[in-house]
Amino acid sequence: MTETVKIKVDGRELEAPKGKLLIEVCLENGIDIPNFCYYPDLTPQAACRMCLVRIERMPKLATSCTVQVQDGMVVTTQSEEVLEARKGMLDLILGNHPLDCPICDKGGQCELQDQVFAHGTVYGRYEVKKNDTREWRLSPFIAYDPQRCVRCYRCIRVCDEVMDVHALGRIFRGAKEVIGPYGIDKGYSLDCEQCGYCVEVCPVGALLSVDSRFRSRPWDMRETITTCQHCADGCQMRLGTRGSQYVRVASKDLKGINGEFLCIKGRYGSSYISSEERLDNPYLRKDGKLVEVGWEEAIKYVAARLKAISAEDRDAVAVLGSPRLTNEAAFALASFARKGLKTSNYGQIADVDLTRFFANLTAPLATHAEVKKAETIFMLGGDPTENNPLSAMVIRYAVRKNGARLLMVNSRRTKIARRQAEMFLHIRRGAEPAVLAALIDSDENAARYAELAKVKPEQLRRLGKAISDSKRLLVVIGPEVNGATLEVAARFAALLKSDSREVKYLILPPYNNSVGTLDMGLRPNGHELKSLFGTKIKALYLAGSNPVEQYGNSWKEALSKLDLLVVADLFMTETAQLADVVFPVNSFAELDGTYTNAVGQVQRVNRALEGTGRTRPDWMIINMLAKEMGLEFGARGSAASIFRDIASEIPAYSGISYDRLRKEWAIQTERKISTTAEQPDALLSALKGEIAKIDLSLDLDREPVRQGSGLFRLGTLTSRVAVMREAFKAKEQVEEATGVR
Amino acid sequence: MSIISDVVETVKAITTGLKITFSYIPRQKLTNCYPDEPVEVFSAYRGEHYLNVDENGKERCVACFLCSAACPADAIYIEAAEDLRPYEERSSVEERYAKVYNIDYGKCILCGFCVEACPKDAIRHGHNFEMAVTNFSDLIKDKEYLLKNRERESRLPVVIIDEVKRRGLSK
Repeated sequence: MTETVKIKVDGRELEAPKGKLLIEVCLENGIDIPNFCYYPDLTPQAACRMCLVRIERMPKLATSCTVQVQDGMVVTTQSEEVLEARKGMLDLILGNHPLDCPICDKGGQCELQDQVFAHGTVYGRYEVKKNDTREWRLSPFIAYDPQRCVRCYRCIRVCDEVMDVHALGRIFRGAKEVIGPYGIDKGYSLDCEQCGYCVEVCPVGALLSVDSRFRSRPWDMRETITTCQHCADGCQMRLGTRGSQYVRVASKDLKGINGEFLCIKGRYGSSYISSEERLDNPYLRKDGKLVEVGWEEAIKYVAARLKAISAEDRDAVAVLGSPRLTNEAAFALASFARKGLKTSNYGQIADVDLTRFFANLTAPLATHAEVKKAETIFMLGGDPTENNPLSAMVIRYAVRKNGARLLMVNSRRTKIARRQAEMFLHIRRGAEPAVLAALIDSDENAARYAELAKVKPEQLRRLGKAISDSKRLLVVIGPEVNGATLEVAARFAALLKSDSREVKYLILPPYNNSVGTLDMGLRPNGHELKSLFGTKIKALYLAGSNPVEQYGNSWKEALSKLDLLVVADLFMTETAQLADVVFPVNSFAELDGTYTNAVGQVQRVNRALEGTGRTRPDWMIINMLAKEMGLEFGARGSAASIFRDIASEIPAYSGISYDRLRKEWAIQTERKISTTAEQPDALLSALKGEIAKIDLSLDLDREPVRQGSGLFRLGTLTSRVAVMREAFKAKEQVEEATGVR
Repeated sequence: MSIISDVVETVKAITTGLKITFSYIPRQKLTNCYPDEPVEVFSAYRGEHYLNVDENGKERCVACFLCSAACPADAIYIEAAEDLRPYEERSSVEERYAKVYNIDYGKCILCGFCVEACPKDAIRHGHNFEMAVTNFSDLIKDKEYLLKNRERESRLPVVIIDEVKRRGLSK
């Protein structure tokens, strides 16, 4: 336990843990100290010298962002001397800062503007000519204006420490110093994850997003806090809109699960909501061609056809959702299928069957905040850097700040394995069950499992020892762990749990609501149902999925065998083009709802845009269909009332309401944890089949995972985002030039 | 009181009043015979706005949105855009310019806050007061119209009085 010390700031007695930075203590106690280069969790820099304070018995003014509090410290933050020093520092910064605030996108929420208003002088004392440099485009996403830069190095430190990308550096020296990739003057561009964190932390308008350039000003747009709809981490973000148009995504000063962190998709991947390609009216196939029709006609047509097909055989109608739907839409869809159509063929199209994981769970899921405090992390598969960037960030944080041991088992050389892992077992593809079995089984069989996984037996032993040595263990399970292996991985914790060891889980599912839609009753059985198309199943209602784009021709053939295909989607996707009827739906920005992220936290999706009025939320389309067909399934008229049904019907969600979500932001659902004592033999026999499937002819995949292989992938949504297309094109060009994929 | 004193008092009062009336007849007339004659307005009159240009005819506006932020009637709508061509080729002073600049004179109260807020001297009040239209939507004036307003200034049916000179305040 760290001892607390007593300090005196401006006559106020304060208590703080010893060794904490003085500026943090002051800011937490409401004492304002202006700063540029200080940023929570980053290493102190003391570059801007705005946070100067007078500390008694120190010869000169001291920078409070580097001074650690000591017992009996007496600090003055408001004396004439300090205020004069602040004025002087601002004068120096403004000496080279252009006064182009009317043009600068940061104008209105600029820290330099605020500081000058609060602490600066009206007239600068410097009359020398300012450095005249042009603006650089560091990447398709990021523009840099060296003239506006105040050299606080927040961007460099956040890129180095939080993102571990190291794309930015200081180029040139003295007054000519600029921030950028090495070779910036030769036109080199940023080779990074394009997360835009540097733009977010920039206190001035030196680094700006190209995406939202000149679109609006901070006071002129409406900002709605909502949940990101890309990966399963469920980051909170602030969606800025102006009129009916998307403007930008920001995360400054947010206090959600992700703080101010967002990845490329979170920050730049939402502009599709204002895409020209968005469907605006229902489409109905007439004489082989899809033509725009009114809602009434489309609903009447679908209702009549579904009724006729359902009357012959109830199971001939299938309903498939998508892991991108909100909980409310998924719940309505599942209820409609189960209680309305009374069909047994409903679910979602997904690759990972997480039902087996949740049914056998033996330890709770860790929240991202808990991951940050982890002591030992055992990662079985998964590449969070590319697919779940927030999970990657918190794992990096645990390693960087708390010195967590990262034990990694993966078939690919992921970035986290190359840079953060203390121990990395590079295994054969698909050999995860062998590693798991080695950890469960006795030492005698280590050689056999090592052979299967193509590692040394000694490595497996060291891994086992590191796990048994741990006090607080976090087990991270990647999406390549599937089937029986996933089930055993969920039961695995029961063997490790003890009074002296706490075990928690973190899973890395691929979609924003993979967990939530599962909870709502959409089982991941899409691929099984596909084989029944044309034979047992005659009609399909497909909400929000684009399997033709994702899985290719096998789905295209299967879908063409159907008598009736109804698709509800945002765009005229490859799948929608095969449909008989297409319904236009509201995007996540135009509806209210909730998502459940990978760690089981329920978070709100808030309506930011009005929409055109001709699109509908998914659950409303279901209601309209059910009404036309004369079916009763407990339809509700609003997202909030659907969520009340969810809370009363699904045990994990009981007690959660929109009111509580508004106050608490993220509420973790309580999962049923099995307490039965697991026997190692039972687990091993469950793994037997999976171990037999390991392809021993496969060699190790030695190629490192390239940056952007997951982040810059273009899907149905991201291919409608202009800057994402550019990032993808740039990545293609690099790959073509280097020949490395 | 006798009837005679009544008559005398009444005549006295009428004469006093008429004296003022007749004293004004030989003086200068204040009413204008608009539209036959031009109207006198002061130089600081807040008429219909015009968008200013620099000495080379480039638009001064950088679409900073400050005028629309200052507008109490929410009458100004702007959309900004970027023009990366060199100064000689583009139509604006800076790279940032207003793609759309609309003032809704159905809302505008001609208070002049926008002119005060403008950091680039891009918007000013003209002296035009003839803003009546027969169609409500014609009250919304776009950028092209507002830019031409500057040229229209010389053709307006107004005589601009320089208040400073008239009062002899100039140095």
